[in-house]
Amino acid sequence: MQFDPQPYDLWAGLKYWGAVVGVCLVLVLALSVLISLLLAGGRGPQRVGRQILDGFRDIADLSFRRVWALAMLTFRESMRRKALGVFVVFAVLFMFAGWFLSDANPRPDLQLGVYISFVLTAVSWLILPVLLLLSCWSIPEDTRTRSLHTVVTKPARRLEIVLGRMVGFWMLGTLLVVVMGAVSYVWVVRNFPAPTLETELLAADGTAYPVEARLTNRVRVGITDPNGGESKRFDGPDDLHVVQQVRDEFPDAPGVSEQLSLELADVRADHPVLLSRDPLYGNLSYLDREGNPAERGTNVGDEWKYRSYIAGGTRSRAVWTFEKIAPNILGDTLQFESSFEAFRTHKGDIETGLMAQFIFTKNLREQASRAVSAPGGRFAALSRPVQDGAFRRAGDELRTLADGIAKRQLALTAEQLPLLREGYGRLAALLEPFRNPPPAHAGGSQPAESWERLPELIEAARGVESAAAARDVARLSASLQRLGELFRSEEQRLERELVDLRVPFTPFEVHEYGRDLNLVPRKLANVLGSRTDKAVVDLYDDLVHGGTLRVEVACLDAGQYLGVARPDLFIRLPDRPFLSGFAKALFADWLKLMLVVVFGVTAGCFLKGPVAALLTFTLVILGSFFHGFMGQVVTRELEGSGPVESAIRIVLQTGPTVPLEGWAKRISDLVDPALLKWMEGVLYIIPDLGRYSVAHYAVRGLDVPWSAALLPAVVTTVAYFIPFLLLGYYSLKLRELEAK
Amino acid sequence: MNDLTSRQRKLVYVGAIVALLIPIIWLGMPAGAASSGGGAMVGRLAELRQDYDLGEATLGDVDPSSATMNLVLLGLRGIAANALWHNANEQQKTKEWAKLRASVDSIILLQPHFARVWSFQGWNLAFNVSAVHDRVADRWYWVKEGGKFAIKGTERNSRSAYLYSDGPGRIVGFKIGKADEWKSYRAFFQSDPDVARYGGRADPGIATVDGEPFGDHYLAARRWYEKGNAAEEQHEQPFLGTSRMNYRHQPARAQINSAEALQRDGSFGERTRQTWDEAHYLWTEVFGRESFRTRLGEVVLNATPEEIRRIARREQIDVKLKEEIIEKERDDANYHFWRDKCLLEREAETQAIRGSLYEAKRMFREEPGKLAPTLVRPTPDAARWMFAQMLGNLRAGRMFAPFVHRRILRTVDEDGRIRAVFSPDESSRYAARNRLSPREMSVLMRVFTAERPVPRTEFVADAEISNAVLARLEERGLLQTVSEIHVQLEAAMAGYERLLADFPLIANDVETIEDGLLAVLYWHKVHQLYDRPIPTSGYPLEELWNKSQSDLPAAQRKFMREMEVEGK
Repeated sequence: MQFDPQPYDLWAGLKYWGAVVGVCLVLVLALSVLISLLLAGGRGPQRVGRQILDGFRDIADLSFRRVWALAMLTFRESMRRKALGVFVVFAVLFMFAGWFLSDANPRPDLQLGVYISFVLTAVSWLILPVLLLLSCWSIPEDTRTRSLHTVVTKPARRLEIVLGRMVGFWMLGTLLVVVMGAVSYVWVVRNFPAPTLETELLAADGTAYPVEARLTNRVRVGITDPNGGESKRFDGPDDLHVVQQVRDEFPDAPGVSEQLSLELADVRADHPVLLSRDPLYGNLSYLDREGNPAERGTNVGDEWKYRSYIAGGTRSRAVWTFEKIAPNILGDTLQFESSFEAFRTHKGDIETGLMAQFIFTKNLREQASRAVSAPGGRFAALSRPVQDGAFRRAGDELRTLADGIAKRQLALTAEQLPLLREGYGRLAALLEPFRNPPPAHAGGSQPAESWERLPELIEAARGVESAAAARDVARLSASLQRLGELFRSEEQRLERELVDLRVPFTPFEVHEYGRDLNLVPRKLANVLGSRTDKAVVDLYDDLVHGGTLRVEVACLDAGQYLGVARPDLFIRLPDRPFLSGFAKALFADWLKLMLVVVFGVTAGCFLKGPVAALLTFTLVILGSFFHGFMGQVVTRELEGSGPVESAIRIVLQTGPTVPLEGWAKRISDLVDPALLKWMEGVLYIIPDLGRYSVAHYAVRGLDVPWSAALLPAVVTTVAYFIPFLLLGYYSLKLRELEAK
Repeated sequence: MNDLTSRQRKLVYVGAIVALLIPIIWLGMPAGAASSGGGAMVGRLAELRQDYDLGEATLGDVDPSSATMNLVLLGLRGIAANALWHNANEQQKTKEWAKLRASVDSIILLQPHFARVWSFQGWNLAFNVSAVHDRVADRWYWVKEGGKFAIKGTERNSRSAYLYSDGPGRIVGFKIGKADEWKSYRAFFQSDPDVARYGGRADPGIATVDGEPFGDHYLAARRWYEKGNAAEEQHEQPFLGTSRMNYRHQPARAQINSAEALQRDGSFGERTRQTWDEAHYLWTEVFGRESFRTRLGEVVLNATPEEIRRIARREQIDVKLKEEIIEKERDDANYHFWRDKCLLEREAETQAIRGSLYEAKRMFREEPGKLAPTLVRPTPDAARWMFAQMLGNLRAGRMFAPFVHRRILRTVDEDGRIRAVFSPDESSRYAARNRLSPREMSVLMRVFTAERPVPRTEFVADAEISNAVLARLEERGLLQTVSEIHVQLEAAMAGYERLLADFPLIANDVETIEDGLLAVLYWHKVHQLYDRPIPTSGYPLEELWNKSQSDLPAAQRKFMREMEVEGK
């Protein structure tokens, strides 16, 4: 499984949903009209129209009181059917779970994930069959026993009956999830209690300071002053802050805070702490061995394509850019957490891990250089002057190019124009943040002086961008001319502002398959680059540009490789309680169960109990385990994945790499595309229940992100609920209730 | 349908259940119930279970969770096991180690008596999973995990001889001792790197066998192999993974490995000698005395001629033929080689020689100061002349001079005739012929009659002797200044040569050849460092060097590795 939390694009999702639902509606409508025409002749479409109008009326007249009454009825009925018996199975499972889990891993840090994974899976898969069977059987059973007749004769609309059923089962599901979730939470917390520390810290003068500490997502420390006998309490988001507080509180006791720091680290090494880390992920790009941008790193032949590798001892880098960085995120110290992989091409020094290094960079000049020379050809001559900060020379070059274009001596090719547009758009975006320079930080840089001609510069760059987009040669030449003049006149300011700064941070030994936590202070020394007049730079004031922080990761061991994936490095924001991640994971499970209820009740509206259960079960299994696989089949990502082709291959006993020939090829070429199209259509209807699997966040000790994990789950549930409710409603409305 | 009421139907069901239960309970009563008064069929099922070794308890420790899991799954055990294997493979591919470990544990809950599952998964954890981790401590953790897993397998299947050898035997012995990280692993076996959990002591999960702690992993492995041998003797084995002879020799080989590992660690004292002695006993008196049934009759590798005659008589075949059969089996088992190797290594002198070579190599890498030429000794030519002078009846030049020199002195010391042999007259004749001053002659005599090379400082400290005298004698090719490492290396090489001469079978041993070639390579390096020509003949191990040129590349690679990695 690829772990890569990407923010969910809600707008794109809505568009997709609208298109699929729209197409389905049109198809259903067309089919209905056609059938009605066949059955009732000219009056058919009229009847269809009346049914649609009835539907709108039912929606408009929806009474929540009646829905509630029906929901309560459903809930009580479920209770009578002993739905809560599932608690017995749950209790038995948890009583014996220790047998299966206790000795899986002697290392508690590895064990923790297994425990969390177990409880979340157990809760989800125990409730699922209960809700599935109840929801699938409820309406068919009522129809069979004719108890539905007593309901439909009441002033309750069919829409309310369907909705009432769904809400009733949702309530039951909610009760089950809440109770089981609470028990599971207590069980996990009891198995992994918050680590505590009780010891004495010795000051340099030999005085003993009794200390007690408790580690959760916060660090709480109590130290008794041996002189005054008074106990002092400290509370902070991490060890560093608490240790700093202790240092400030006991300035006369050297060594105490350092010892506390070591003791806390020891406790953390031995005992896993239940918490939800809150990561701020960046975007990952690569530089190749020569330091040029690359699509990917090196492929070292790992079967799992999750990570890409950067070569050690070369200029190859993995570059993370973190967006929306604000001073309040940074605080005094920034926590960079990484989990890289090491790949060795030779054994090397087997007793020392691979060394990696963060290099904080602000490469504005490099970016500007790449932007202005993006179209290549004669524009490549701009690269060097901009890189060197010689903006006057760059301005001259720009003007020469503008003249050439104006006099038709220089013709831009069709490939160059889009590159020109994109490159100068980037230049404008690069200059944009200078409009709002960061406010001077306390003790930080000088307040930024205003840059009067900046808007003209940006406008000129945007002018080039728009002229290139419009393929307007005259305007392009004029904009380039203007930009060239501005480059000349703003030479000094550009040189001062567009800087290349590189701040290498202390190298660290990679802890493979573990976590490396690098605490990066706000003030950094060891500055390299085009602006070396500063001995110390501020991480925010000097290195963040337009809210973006750029971190390059280098592997220092020649001949070895460092494996990186986007989520491998993140800025760790203050930790949240374990409950936060756990509850969100449960919430996603709850959403999935709600969706299963929607499927079950809807299927029950037009199918008999066992068939409805089978259909819903199939949907759940396909959606949970085979959605990705079906996607690969439909897109032909899997070789030889056409159904007919696969069948022929089974008979002929040939692998997918052997090309089919003769009749076999002709048949599969003829039939498979149609079958795959049909499968593609089915795939649109089957929900991707993998979206609800967010337990792996909690298993990894991470908080469940809203945009990347919860929002897609919420949206999917709502997206299926609306059409399925309508489907259920019309099925119940149009069916003959007497037909059992 | 039928005319029965609901109640009647229920009563019929209950009656049927009871009727079916009675024979099951009767047949399934514990074995031995028949003797306590039951009929012939009472407890029959239990008896059959015992006879065919089908009971959980007879196979090894009973794991209640495993039994529960199998019952809960009803008939779906195969499908569940298949899914778990698939998961385990995926988790290994996606490097989710904790989940992999849990999956593997679930697999063996479902297949607790499938020996190959235990052996494969234990091997996978110890060899494959450990290898992808970067830090040695992490790698060690997974080697241990594999080992512990395999140990658990032997507990659940105490009758499976195959599991003892392919599980803990292979991991605790071979994996720890032969990995690239063997130095770290051997140290970790005694003192686990997880100090927080084991307090700097060994992890009892891997370093104990039946509660008995072991300091050496090969000796622990020997114990596992012995347990396997015991299981093999007591229970019929469907599968051993190898021939019976190959299986049975493993305790002795583990003991040999233990002794070899001690030498690799640089231990050449009494402990190592005793370990070899024990290995010799295990190889010749335990394994060698075992009787194997082959398709060509009984074979006892360490059988005396008389015993061979007896076996031949019993089997009614020709004695010569029986001897040939046994000799063939000895060759297949490499019996003579290991016997001779143990015999050779258990000698104190062997240990001393190996120790001196190890020490020379160690000094070369770790004490560069000892590479300085500080010792004075006769040149090979001068020594040869002296040798001829004193013991003219021996042919000079066939042996390497400095050692000839030492041997002369030893002989002379023993019978106390050195002054008589090399009389003052001879001394002055020699001085006159070579135009040596009395002072020079006195230096020469001091060097020639000394038991060991003489430290240069001894002369320099003397007011009468100056560096100039030594320099002149060196110029004339009578004396040479060498380093301590040079002397040590040559002493070791000469000793090595003697060993090879005494045990010719050992001269075919790849490791012995490599060690000898390595010694010569170090010796070459010393010459290169002095910027002196490397003697092409007349040095110890010359014969081995010339004979084993095909093995030289491997030795050179090892030499480079020792220089680069260990000498850092």
